Amino acid sequence: MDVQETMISISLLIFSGQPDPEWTLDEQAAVPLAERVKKTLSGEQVRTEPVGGLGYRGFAVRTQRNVLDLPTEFTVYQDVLTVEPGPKATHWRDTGGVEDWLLGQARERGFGDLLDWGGARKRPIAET
Amino acid sequence: MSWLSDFIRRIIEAVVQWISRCIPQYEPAIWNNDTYVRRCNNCYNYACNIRTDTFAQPGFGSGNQYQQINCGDVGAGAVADGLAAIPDDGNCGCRDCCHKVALVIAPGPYVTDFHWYRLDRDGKWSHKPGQTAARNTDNSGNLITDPRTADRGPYTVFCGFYCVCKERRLTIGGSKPSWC
Repeated sequence: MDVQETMISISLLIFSGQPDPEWTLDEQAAVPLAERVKKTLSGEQVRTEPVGGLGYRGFAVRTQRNVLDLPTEFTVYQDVLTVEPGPKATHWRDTGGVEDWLLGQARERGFGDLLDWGGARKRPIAET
Repeated sequence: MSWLSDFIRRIIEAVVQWISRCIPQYEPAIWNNDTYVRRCNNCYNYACNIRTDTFAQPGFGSGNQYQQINCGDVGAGAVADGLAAIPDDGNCGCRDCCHKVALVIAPGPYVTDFHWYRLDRDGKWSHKPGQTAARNTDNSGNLITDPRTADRGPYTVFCGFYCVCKERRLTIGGSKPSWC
């Protein structure tokens, strides 16, 4: 499996016209993310996802393959994680703190002002 | 003479239907249900009702992409692509198969962005914020009857209205982002 296939890409869903900021994690760096996702997906399922508006709308996470058993595509916003957005989506209460962790990642990467502009909540990650 | 009034009514209905055919229906599933379509088409694609899967940028398709994000530059890029600016109280007419769209800006100073709305056949406005789903509600969850008065979050500057006309040259496009 080549390096590209094990990378996890994360989009900060915040812009409307311009492309969103994006970064990648390698498999090792994504272990905390995978643990949180696993916890969320073993918890409470909910019926719908929050819609959001202009400004901060959460994160989209994509992998080429099921790296670390992560879904190939999911979004998380307002404490709801959605697997395979679309008509076959499933929604889960984010009990694993996936969104918080991603917010911390985004702030560490210098997107704090952007998050504040977009109305994202300010919450430090509990652990790295 | 009831046949005459009935005849006139049918003519008027046919004309209205003819004009309405050019105005997009609000059918968000077309843009939302396929994940690739949803993430690769942005507000500009949606407002123009043209899917390019390249996250279109005003002016890119015509070789005149905006340099700065402000009403003038982004609007000029859209005009170069084939959109036509109209006065606030203007309409798009019925000759060139047009529908009405609106441009707004998040003016900064630290963060700038643009956003587009479109007027649908049901008389309401809808929009598609970036990679996320198309919807007809604003940031307060209200149906959008006028983008000038809708809750637009940080997109506080209303730039103006434009017409997207199928029977004029339209060339919208973008540089495909990595997630497409």
